[in-house]
Amino acid sequence: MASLRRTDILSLIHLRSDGRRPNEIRHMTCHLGALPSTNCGSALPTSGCSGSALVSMGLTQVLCVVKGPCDVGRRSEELPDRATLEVIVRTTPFSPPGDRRVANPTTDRRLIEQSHLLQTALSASILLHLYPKSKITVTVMVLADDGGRLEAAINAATLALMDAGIPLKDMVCACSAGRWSAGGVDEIVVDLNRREIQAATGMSGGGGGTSDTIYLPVATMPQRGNVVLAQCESRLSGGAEAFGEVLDVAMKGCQMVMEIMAAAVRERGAGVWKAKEGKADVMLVE
Amino acid sequence: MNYILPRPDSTTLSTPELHFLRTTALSSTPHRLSGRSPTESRPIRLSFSRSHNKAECTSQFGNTRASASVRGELIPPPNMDRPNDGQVKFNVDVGPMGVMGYDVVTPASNYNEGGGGGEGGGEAAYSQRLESNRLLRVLERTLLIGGSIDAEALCVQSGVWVWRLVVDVSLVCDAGNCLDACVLAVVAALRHFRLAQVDVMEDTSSGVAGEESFREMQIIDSDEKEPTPLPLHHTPVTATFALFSDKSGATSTVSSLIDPTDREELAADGIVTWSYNKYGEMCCLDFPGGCELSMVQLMSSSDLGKKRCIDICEMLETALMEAESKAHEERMERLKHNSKSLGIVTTISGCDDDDDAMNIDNEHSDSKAKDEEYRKLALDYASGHIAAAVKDRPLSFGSSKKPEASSLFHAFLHSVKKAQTVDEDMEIDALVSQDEQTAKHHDNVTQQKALDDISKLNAITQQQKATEPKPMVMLGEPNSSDEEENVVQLKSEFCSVDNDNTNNQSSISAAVVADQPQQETAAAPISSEQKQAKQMDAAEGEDVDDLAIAVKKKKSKKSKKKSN
Repeated sequence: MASLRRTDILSLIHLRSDGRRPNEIRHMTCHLGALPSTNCGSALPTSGCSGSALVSMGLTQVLCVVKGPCDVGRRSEELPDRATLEVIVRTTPFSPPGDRRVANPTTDRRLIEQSHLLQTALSASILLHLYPKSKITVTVMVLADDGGRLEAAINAATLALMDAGIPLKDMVCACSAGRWSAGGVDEIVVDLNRREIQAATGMSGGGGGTSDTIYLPVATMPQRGNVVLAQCESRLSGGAEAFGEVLDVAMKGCQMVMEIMAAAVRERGAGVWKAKEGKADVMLVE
Repeated sequence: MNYILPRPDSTTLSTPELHFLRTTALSSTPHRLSGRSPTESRPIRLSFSRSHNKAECTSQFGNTRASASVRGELIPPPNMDRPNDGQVKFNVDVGPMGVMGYDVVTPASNYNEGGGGGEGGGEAAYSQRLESNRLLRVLERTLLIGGSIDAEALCVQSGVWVWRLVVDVSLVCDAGNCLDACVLAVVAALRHFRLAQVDVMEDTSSGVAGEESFREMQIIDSDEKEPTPLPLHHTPVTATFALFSDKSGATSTVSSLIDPTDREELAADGIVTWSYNKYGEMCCLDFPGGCELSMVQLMSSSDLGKKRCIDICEMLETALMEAESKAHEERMERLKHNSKSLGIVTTISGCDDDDDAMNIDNEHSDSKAKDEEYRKLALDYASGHIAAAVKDRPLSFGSSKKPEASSLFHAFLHSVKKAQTVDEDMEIDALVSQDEQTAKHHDNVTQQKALDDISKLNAITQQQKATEPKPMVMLGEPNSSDEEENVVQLKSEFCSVDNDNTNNQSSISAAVVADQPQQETAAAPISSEQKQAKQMDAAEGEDVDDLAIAVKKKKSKKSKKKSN
């Protein structure tokens, strides 16, 4: 297979299958305010959005839209002391693995799981107690999936929340890290793409991951240095030390991600400020 | 409907409960509602059964019960890209039996034929779906993706027939930590399951030349040919912690409680699940967030989880060996029967379980006794501190009243003495530090509770014989016994957190004791005995291990006094 030969060559110069070094994350772009934010004063939860963000990590592209805080439709869902956070993750028919089936977010188990993970990860950071009896809806649409869907979704959600002006304790940044033995040497890599994930977890079915390969998506609050989410399903014979190393690398990856996100936020802030002053370079859509 | 229904789900927690759970969990010496320490889990009980092409296991963590059953089917390979791969299908059913307020829904499964479920309505359905989904995903990730079941080993004939293992998990009762219970039940059932031998029939159909001929397969009954165990690479088990973080942000301490109960889960901020196998290899980490953890805290919880998992694995191995030998015996029995009776099949389909028709009475009372024992071990919140001496006194339903009466009476005296000592202790030590007091209370309360349990048990057996309205009548009896009873109740309000149980038991024990003819004489000796007993108790301290011995001691002392 051609790709196998290419990766063999690349691994000789210690590069990964897409030409990255082991400690490089994918090229990441963030665009805040991708969708026009409308005034969300109306009580209908179906109108408009307060903030949005479009994040791409390598070939994975995710769009996130935040609505709220607004009125809860059903009284039974109201919480008296904090806001309800609702997260929906959707895939699109054109996002790979392009089998053109849209998984129903209410029944597909992976989407339910990812929605729930996103919800708990964000609820550790949003100051929900400032908005009792209201609802914040976060909708994530996966436009292209090349691995790292969950991490990109978390990053996009954080940016969209910041765009919507919802107070956060800290930015929640997510990155994955993995480890496998390539040619007898243990390699810890950051930000895996889909092919690497499949190789690490042996998702191709027969025979689970060989021991010592790890794929670990992690979400952290980098400025506070705390882990907010971590999932790992590979068998490790080294025990906790190997895991600790990979976790460390993942947290460094999150730090890198945070820097990119913070730069994007500052840029957006500068753009909005300029528009207010009437010196806009770019036409902001109303 | 002109009345207001409370929310029909179990996801609400009253404010005092929430406040109490959080403050005690976050205090410098974390306490729990049941008296366990943060690193102590509930005792586990496993029960197995096996029949042809099927294995079952029910795991009990205290009140949480989960049941898993494994069966095998022969199917053509589901994925033609991988003709050698079998399939493992998990069906997770979390229904109204397990949790109050849940609806009956089709179980969540990882291979869904046909359309998915319909719309969920409302809060309860959403949390139900989340729960069953989480169980399903963790099972999938720990067992399938983590690599303990090898799909290729399930192949019978490449490209033609493969095994499909259907694992049905149902949550029988959820009292917290249903994830651990379900995973343990599934893993134990998979280990206990035996794959039947398959017989290839003669190829009679005329296939097209060059094609793989389609042969009929027949599963041979387990009694004819010995079935084989499943090829599992390793046996992972999970340990779950509930995390409590300081919401005010004043400190960054995070309390982690292992094996949370349902109240603790509701009050918790986050949950982390570690999965290890018996070699200490990490199999899975599921930390869905909700609470921030520093790296150090995460790693320390992993160490705790590892220890716990290794303990569970050892226990699982012993339980499996017992179950295996039992199943083997049963199989021998069946074979003997089959050879005796001329070809008449004794096995009813699907009923080859433990309860044979012949032994059902013995088995029934046996299992009831075992149930009671486990219940007291698991739900008697003093399990770590006192060995319940129930084994010394065989539970005999319907034995003569007299010996039980005197022992009951003495048990009551003993408990009352304990109550008195604790009461006085409370007054004196009012200013002493919290920890000391609570520790003492725990011990005393637990002792009293153990006694109450036993007296309650005996009381129940007596009540089965006696008439119903007796307890009602007895509560209005002369003040002496009532006073004692009141004293007991007051004390328990303050330091025992298990109000209802203690109250019930003390009222029942008071009621039964009041039934005895020695009631009048009870008042006088009690007060005089108490003072003596207090010194004795202080001397004995908390090492009253064997209740029977303690009761006998009291009896001999009392008889001495009477002679004086």
